[in-house]
Amino acid sequence: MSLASRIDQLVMPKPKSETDGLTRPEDAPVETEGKVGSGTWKESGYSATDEEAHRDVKYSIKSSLYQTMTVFMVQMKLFSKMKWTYILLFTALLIPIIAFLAPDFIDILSTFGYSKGYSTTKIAGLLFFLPLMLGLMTSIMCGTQMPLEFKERTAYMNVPLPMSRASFFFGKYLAGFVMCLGIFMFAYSMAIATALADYDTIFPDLILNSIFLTLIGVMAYSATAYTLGCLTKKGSSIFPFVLMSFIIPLIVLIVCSQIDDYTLTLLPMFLGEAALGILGASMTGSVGMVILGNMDLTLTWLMAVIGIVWTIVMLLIGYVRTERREM
Amino acid sequence: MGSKNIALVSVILMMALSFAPMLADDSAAESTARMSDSYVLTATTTFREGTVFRDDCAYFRASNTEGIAAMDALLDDHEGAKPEDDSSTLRNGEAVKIYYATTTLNIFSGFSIPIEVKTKTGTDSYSVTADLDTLRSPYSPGFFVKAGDDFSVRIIKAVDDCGKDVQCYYKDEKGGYHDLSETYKGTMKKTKEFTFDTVPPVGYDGRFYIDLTYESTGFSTPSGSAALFAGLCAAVTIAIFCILAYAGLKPRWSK
Repeated sequence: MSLASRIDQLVMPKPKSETDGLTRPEDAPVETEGKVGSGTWKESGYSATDEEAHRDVKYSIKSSLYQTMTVFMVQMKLFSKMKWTYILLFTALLIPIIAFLAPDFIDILSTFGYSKGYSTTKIAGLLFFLPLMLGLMTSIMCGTQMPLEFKERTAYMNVPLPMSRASFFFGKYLAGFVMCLGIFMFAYSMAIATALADYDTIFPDLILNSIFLTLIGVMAYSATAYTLGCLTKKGSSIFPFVLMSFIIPLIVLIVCSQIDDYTLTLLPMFLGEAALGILGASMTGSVGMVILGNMDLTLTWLMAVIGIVWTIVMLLIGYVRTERREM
Repeated sequence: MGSKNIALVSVILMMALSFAPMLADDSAAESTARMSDSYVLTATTTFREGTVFRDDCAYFRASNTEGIAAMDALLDDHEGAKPEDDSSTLRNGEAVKIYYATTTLNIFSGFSIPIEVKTKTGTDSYSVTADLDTLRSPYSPGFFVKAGDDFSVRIIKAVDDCGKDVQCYYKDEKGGYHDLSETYKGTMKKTKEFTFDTVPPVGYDGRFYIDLTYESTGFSTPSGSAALFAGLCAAVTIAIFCILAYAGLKPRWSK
């Protein structure tokens, strides 16, 4: 027996019994040696239909969307194991608890200019710390996503996989964004449900506008935190928060007050303040509360456009960095 | 109905919910409202004989539970007519509940309510300490304006609980004063309540309420269902956390 036929026997051994699953009926025609006909494999005796043998199946790399969704689901699984996911959810759950334990809080807020008697201002009061949480939560969820992949060497596991870096990058971002959005939508539902105790009706256009601005805010903040993580070696869940919620707003605050022009408040760092301001909030629990009174909330559409452009630019910077990274 | 149709109907419904209030007719018809620009303090004391003459106080015998309930309802519900007080029939030594209206609160004075009575020999002035649990804050008529909305308002008539005419004015951001007996037009840069001030009464501290007759345009009233929006937000949250749970359960994506 030649060496080639021995190897053939090793790779494709002949069936020893019917339990092997490669059976041939006793009366089935035996293919002659060397004939590579339909449904046969040389002298092995194995026969299969085209469907069983996958002859008509074309194999190719999955689409970019499929790859992105796979990375998205992997990241979501990681989020499901993170304790921070549940801690941040609990923070949103505190809204009705605080409202019921301290029912007079809206009276306290009225001393800071909050109107009493309107559901939207009560909702804004319940979401008082939304701008601050926007920075903190997106920073925690997205700030260390990419550096952790390299620190724990899991990014290198993707190298031999048929997956583009673009799918890897955007899939992870999408998961971070969706996770943060889920937490903020939970906060909104808690705030509206709490306001339901006192009010039956709301201003739907104001609520939708506020939710839309929050959505854009989550997009911009999470893109910034994610990209900063891509640009740094270790990443940080605090630096993006400090940058977006304190450093840039403070610089804008100083510049605006000096030149007496508040156009810079259209930047995405003030989307949280705008989301509450549109509901009737006169102040918020953030640096931006100082200039909320000077913000022009008739230009929220422009804020949304700037927020989307900011997100795209940030993601492009992060993507280029990831694409050029040596692995 | 397919999922695409359901999604389409949902989007149309949500858009209708958003735009319906915008398309609502802004009526310039005459409206009425009751407002207050005073804090109201209460105290229970023993009355000294005489004729009460402070306009900013209302007096009720402690036994006149019907009158007290009517006054409480008036202050709490911001509606109804002020019940007649007992001041003309009060007698020396009777237990009396006093309501006191004031435009300013001085916490260092111990919230004392000043009382003045005319006696046979002259004027007798004294004070009693207010019951802080029953302090009521002023309330405005509540003209809610959305950011970017144009509005106009004219106060046709403003009369306080003593039957005196009240002058209403608006002080703008630049410090300019506008008499609201003439039509005032403006645009809001942010969502907020349009409030105005009144010329304070002469001779006494505050007043219990002011009845307004006005015409206005551009003010908004809530019209959407809060329960619906709470449900919508909850549905989005649940959908996202279902994905999270699914991703956590599915072993194929495990690392």
